[in-house]
Amino acid sequence: MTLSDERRAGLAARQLALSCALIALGALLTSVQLDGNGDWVGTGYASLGVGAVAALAAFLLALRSNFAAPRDALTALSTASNLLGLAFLVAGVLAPGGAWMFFEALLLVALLARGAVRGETLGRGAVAALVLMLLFRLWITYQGSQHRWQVMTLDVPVLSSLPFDFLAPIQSISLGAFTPHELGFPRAGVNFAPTVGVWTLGFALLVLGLVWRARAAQEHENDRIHAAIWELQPNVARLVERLLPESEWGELGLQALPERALRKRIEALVVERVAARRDFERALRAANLLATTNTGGYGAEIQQALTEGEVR
Amino acid sequence: MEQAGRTEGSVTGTAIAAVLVFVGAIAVRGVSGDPAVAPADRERAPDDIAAPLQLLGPAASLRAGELAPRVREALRQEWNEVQRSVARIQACPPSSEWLASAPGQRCERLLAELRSGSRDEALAALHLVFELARRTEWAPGLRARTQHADKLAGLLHEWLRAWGERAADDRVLSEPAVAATVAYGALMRRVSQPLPLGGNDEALERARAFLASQLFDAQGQATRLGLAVRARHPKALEALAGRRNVLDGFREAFELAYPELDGECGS
Repeated sequence: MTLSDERRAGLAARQLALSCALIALGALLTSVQLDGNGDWVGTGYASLGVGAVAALAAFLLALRSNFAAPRDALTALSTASNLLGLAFLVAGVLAPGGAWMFFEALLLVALLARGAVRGETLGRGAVAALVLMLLFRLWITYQGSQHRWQVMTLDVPVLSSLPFDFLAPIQSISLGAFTPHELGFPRAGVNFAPTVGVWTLGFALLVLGLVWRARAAQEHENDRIHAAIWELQPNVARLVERLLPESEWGELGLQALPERALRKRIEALVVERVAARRDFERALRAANLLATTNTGGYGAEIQQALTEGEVR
Repeated sequence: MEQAGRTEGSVTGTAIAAVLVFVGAIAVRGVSGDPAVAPADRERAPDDIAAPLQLLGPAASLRAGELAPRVREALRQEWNEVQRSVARIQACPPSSEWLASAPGQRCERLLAELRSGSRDEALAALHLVFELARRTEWAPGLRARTQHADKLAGLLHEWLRAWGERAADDRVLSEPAVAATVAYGALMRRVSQPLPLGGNDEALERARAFLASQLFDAQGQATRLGLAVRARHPKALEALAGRRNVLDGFREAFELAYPELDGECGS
């Protein structure tokens, strides 16, 4: 292993640690809100619990496809950060209470599970759904900060334009009523602008951190495979890397394997590929390639006689 | 080798920081805040005037003497005389007519001086305005004479412009500021709609714009004064943010809190 390889391995580990720190910071920011007294208070455990269930469902489904068992403190932190990051991300966008929360949770479990089966931490569909849910949460928080306890109010055409107070109850329709308790507002009310700023920043950090962590984890894993190959003599290692190029390590099932199984798999793949190449070369040498250019017809017999003669 | 050691150190440090932040994120979720504490509920300073709302109530004249030592020396004599003249207004004269008289002009000059003074002087100014509202006629009546209510509302407008936001966070002035806001809204409701049909759109817009500037910030969120008004009279703020009958909430709150301030000297 060369000096640049060591640097590369260090870089992947550093990226993995930094992405975990980014996820943790995002988790912290989505967990706080500024109340009317100017104090930072928590957003409660209820939505985090639901978020944890959604993240756990995705995690368990990922176990069957591409789960990499933690091998050291850093990879253990990476796995835990992924699980916690998803839990905080889901908790950060859920409507904090009521029937909506469970409907949203159901949808997110389905999207995250689908992504996990495909080997993605956050697929495009899941990110789009999370953004929409965040916008919905910010909207109802805004409505609540204005002491309007419904998602929206629609004016009834014609009736709403009549200037009679006794018609007030039927001049508009309230959609999606909720209570301050459902919103999880602090007792002193919520200070809307800074709270929304902090939540949005936290959401962005969580998404960035999770995507970055997935890539850094893959690079870290590739560094481990690279190190296993470079335990061989340098010349042999170079040949093995030509036989098993890095771009194919994922497809070849080298990632996420335990140490011993990794070495056995490399061994098996090298034997298999070398044997296949030798077979191919042998077949190539034995093949009468000039015969394949015989187009038949008038010159066919002449060409065959000449090429056979040449072979002899 | 040294490079590898440095890298390992930075990775370990970052990982430990991430773990600590995660622990903090989980712990902070359980932190519940305290209920909102109204400025009036905070601990009183020894020289704070007690129960300041009484100085705006029906029996305010009984405590008016407590304000005299709190007015600065240069204005004290003037305060004593003006306060006495306001307390002795008889026969319920129309507000703007009394304010146009010699004692009325003297009162208006004193109000301007008091508004620019200390918080106790601001309370003294508000006391005088409420006493004027109690002892003069400002109800528009069937002839829709709104100039009297408009004049009184103007005095409250100037007081709120000078003290509204500052008063909202003050132990002594927070509740009087809410009372002044509600009184302003209720008076402007009478000015903008003196009779059941029709109305003065200019006055309504003027009142709405001023109240919005006092009660909401640029993002449409309630200011400290807005929060104080909402805590006592939630319907008033809700109606102000609506599209119709925007001042009705203030009228209802004012009639409930000061039933004797009917614009006809309680007759």
